Amino acid sequence: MISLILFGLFALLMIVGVPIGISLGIAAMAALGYGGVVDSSYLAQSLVTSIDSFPLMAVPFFILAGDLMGHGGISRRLLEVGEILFGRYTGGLGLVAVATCMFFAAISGSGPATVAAIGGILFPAMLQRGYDRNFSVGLVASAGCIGVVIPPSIPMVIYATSSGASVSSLFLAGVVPGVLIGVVLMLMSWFIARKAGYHGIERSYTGAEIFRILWDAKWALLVPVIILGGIYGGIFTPTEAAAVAVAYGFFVGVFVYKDLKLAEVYKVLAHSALTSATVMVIVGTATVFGRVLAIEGIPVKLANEIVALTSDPIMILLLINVLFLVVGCFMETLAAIIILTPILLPVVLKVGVDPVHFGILMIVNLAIGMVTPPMGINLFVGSRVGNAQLEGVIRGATPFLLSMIVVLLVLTYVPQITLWLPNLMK
Amino acid sequence: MLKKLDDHFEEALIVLLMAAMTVLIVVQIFMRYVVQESLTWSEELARYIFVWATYLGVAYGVKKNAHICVEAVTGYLPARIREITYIVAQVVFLLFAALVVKEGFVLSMKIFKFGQSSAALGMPMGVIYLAPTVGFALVFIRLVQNIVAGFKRLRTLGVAA
Repeated sequence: MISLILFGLFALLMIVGVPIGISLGIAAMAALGYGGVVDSSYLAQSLVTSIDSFPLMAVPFFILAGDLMGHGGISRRLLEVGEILFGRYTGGLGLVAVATCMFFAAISGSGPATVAAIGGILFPAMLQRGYDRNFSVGLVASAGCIGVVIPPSIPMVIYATSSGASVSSLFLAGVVPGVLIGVVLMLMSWFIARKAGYHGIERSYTGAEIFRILWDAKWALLVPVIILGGIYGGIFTPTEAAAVAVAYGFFVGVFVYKDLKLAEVYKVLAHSALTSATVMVIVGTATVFGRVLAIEGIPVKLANEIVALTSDPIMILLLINVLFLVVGCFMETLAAIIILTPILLPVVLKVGVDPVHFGILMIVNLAIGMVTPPMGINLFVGSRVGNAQLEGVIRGATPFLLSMIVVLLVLTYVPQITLWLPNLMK
Repeated sequence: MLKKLDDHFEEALIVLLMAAMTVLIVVQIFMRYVVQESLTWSEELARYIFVWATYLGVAYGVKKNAHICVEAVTGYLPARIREITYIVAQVVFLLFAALVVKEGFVLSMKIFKFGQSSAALGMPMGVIYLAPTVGFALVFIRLVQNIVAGFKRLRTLGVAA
């Protein structure tokens, strides 16, 4: 009965359009009231204790850093580097788009921020060179998913807080899968471009030109070195690294590239704080929700039932993949992680799946969810930035979506791809 | 003046808090590596600022209608019914906000009375526990504004139909 109240009320409120965080809070309080187990001051208490966490503070900082660096200067210079590398090949700008998204992913931890930053400067160039609008927007919307797979990654910080896995291991584990997705998207885009007859840019660079472009982009290329080098060199914690990224993005944007005005900084701060708060309120109420789940023993019961059906970890992971893909179509990424981790982690731990591997699978799944309709945030951002019809963008993104699902299956079957790098660094 | 306050109250506060959080952590790293004198209180203060920024930000989110919702269903409703559903959702949210304000207030008064203080700064913990109370009180006000606006839109829709 209590689980019926918990999940039934949650689903009902969510469908009516009550914010997810509030739906979680109300469902949990109603279940508690019905069971009469915990006194209601528990709500007020966990709203504070769940947010009062230093690792969690990496989230607002990474949001802010991504927002600051998404404003012009840095993304344009990354794009120029991408052009030296891939501009001359068939469908060159498509390859450049994916490469630039990968670079930007190493700076920003957000999918939609990557789409907005790269799409904003790349779409005009692609359209001018005769690339199909739907193909261009669909490609960048898909490549934006890499933003949350290549470190730093905001969803990984959230998963780490709800699962207890280490942020540093997760960051390392994301590198190879992120690059793999990038390579597969590039191959797909090359095939489509060859069919459509998109040519590369016939332009050769002199050594001096290449040096000038790289030198000009040095501030942008240094960001991943500072963030990841700082974390793995033991110089600072992921949260401190995120704060350094903010300070760096501010400094470079305002004083070096000078494309960030102080009035804009105010807007960026307000926007990031807003984004962070809308996520954190879910963290707060989900803690209460998770507590009710635990009191009721729901995750353990679920784990036992699933293991009774099959104890093959691959089968279980495949089933969970399907669940995530469906959930990812309807629910926002971070909300899904906060709600599903405490329910599903006990299930996979029971059959011996590594929590880091599971986290990466979850994140890749939900990243794919960013380009699946009807709730694909990257599709929305892409169609807005690229001035395209949503239906067209969905059509353009479909081949890339399918190829990412193939990568997901490979990652599920072969945990070594994910775990190789974190194990190497241990 | 009142309009300015209405438009920017939470916004200005969270911008300030967000900036303060960043500066605190950057100074903390600077002190540790450059001055070689680790601060003991900066992390704690930053965390408390984060808690306050979060709950003030929740109110700002209500004002901006920016909270994370599932729109897959409501998006397909006809305009009039969608507006009514919106008002219902806001009212449900309002009830929850009232609950948080009440529980939060009772809890923080209890903690003030116990005189519990924070580890590094010796700050009364009640101050931190007030964050959801104050935040959701603002949420309450913003929701009332949203509900009024919703009814107004509903009325113009009624005229149009």
